Formats: sequence, structure tokens, C-alpha cells
Amino acid sequence: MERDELSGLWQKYDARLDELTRTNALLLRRSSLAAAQTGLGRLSGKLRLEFAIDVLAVLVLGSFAAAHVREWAILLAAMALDAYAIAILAATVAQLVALGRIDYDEPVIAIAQAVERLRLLRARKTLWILALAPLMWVPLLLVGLRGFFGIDPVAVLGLRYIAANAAFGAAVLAGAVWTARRYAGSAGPAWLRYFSETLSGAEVRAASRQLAALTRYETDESAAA
Amino acid sequence: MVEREDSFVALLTENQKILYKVANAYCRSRADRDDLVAETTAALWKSFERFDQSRRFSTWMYRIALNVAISFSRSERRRSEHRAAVDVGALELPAGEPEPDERLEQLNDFIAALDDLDKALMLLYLDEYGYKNIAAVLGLTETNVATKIGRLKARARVALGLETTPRKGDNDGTR
Repeated sequence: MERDELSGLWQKYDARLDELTRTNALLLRRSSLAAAQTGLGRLSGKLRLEFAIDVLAVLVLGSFAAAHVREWAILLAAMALDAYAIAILAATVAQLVALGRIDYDEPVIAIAQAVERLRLLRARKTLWILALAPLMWVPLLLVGLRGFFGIDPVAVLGLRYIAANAAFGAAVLAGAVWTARRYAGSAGPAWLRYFSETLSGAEVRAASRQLAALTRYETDESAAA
Repeated sequence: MVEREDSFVALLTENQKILYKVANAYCRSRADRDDLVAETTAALWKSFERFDQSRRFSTWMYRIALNVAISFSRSERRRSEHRAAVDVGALELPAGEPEPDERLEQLNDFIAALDDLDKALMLLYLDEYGYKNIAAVLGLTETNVATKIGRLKARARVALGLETTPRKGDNDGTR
């Protein structure tokens, strides 16, 4: 196909859009320019909220741990939860930094790569939150009982009961990973697809593959086949 | 402020076909297209403060619109996939438009099926941007642009039913 043939078709399309835009010009004038928000703008708002919650969690758990330094079980549980919260906070900050670097005035390939890197960061964060959440059940139980009810969980529940709960958390994790791998890529409710694709690592792998494809796209200068 | 807004609206109105071309290429449903046009307009307005008047507005606008569309399409892909089952009117123009041209619809379908970066390349090529400009907007080398355009032309020829297999030597640049 010569360029003229394609150009001819495209000019027809242009002419049809001319008719359409003649009627839409006034709508454009009336629209509120600053009111609309971009998808990345909405993500930025969501990340800022996550940041605020993460900081609060780190501070509350840090204070709780400091207040219970003489109770080894409570201290260990609070420190584990605090480390978990700090890791989540770090992941949120990494996303905010990556998002802040996106400038729509940059070349298209750079934006595509930046958006995909952001997707990879989000996928990794969600994967680790989901993977570690069942293991955080025991620390949460200890801290919750001590913090909200003033109970000494080791004395009340006993180490055997606590160990059984830890084993239960590990079993839940193993079951969740098995379910995620079993249902990854299959049809089903949106929440199940999201859960299975993220926990099975499929989302992380997809984002990594896409980044690699973008690099190949950028560097491919070979002649057409 | 009012003067800047007037100037922006005038430039945007003059070049608004770019908004529709990009939205039609990147979105499969009417709702997504409307959202994308609104988001692109917002992004253009936010970036307009930094727009260098010595540059061509349409080239700058294309770059921003393509970047918003690619970000949009990657973040909205799940939503669009869910909608696809009930809203398959890809690339239709609003009601009341002239009779559709079959060949034009085929070209639009071809563009809609391309991946995000090839869509950008094809839109710029069809709007007669030179390889140098396309390379600058996309962040590729001119050689890379020429190679990819050659391949896209060959695929377009097959998609539009002009040939069953791509011809050799379709990576020859026209500029």
C-alpha cells in the first residue's frame, strides 16, 4: 500500500472528525478545565492516603513496642508488625517517587516504561502484603489482645495455642498460594482474578515481560522481515 | 489567567481532532473514550503552563495525548476487558455521522488492534509527521521509526485485504 492510499483514507476520517468537532467545540469551551483528573492523578491521591495510613501504623506500633519492652512476646509481636508496616511504607514511598517522576511532556516510550515500572512496584507490594498477611496473624492477635483488652496473651492462651495459630497462618498461606496458582488466568469474579493473578506472581511476571518488551521496542532497528 | 485560558481553548479547539483520533484508537467503549478525552484535556491544561511557544502546538499536544492514552489504557485495561462483552462498538463515530466507509472502518479496526506504541506510531505517520518528528515524540531513533513503519504498512496492506502476505522491502522510509 502506498502512502497516498493510506493518506486518502485518513483524510476521509479527518473530514468526518471535522463535522463532529464543529458541534463539540462549544462543549469544550464550557468544560471545566481544572476539574477533570487524570488516572495518575487519582492514583496519586490514593497513594497519599496509603502513605498517611502507613505512617500512622508505623508510629502507633513503634510506640506500642516501646511501651512493652519488658514483655518479650508482646515486644517481638509489635516489632514484627512494625517491620511489616515499615516495609509497606517504603513500598508506598517508592511508588510516590516513581509517580512523581512521570511527566507527560516526555517521549512516549519513556512514559510507557515509567507506567509499567509503577505497575510492577504496585504488583510487588500487593504480592508481599498478601503473602505475609497470614503470617502476621499471630503478632496481630498478641498485640490486639494486649493493646485493646489489656490481656497477657501468653499467660491466658499459652504457648501451645499460640504456636497452633502460627501453624494455622502458615497453612492459610500455603492454601492461598495453591488457590492463586490454580485459578490464575481462569475466568471468575474480578476479585478472585485479581487475588489469584497477584498472589501467584502472574501480575509481577506480566509487568516484567512488558518492561522487557518496551526495551526491545526501543532498541529494535533491524530491517523489516 | 483568563488570557492564558482563552489562548489554550483556542489552540485546543483548533487541534481537537487529535483528541478524538487518539481516544478512538485507544478506547473500545464510548464511556472510556469520553473519560480519556476529559483526562487528556485536563493533562494538557496542567502542562500548558510549561508549553514552549516556539514549538508546534499540535506536536506537543500529540505527545501529551498519547502519553495520557497509554497511561489510561494500561490502568483501565481490566475495566475495558470487562466492558468488552457488552460494548463492542469499537471506533464508531457518534450517531448522526455520515455513512461508514468500509475501508476506513477496516483501517480503524487495524489501528485498534495494534499495541499501544504501534498505535502511536501509526497515528503520527497517518497525520503526516516526518520520521524525525515521530522519533522525537516517541523517543526512538529515526531508523527504528522507519523500520517499524515499514512493518506496519505491510501489516496494514494485509489487514485491508490488499495482499495476503506482506511484501519485502516495506521498511523503506518515505521521508
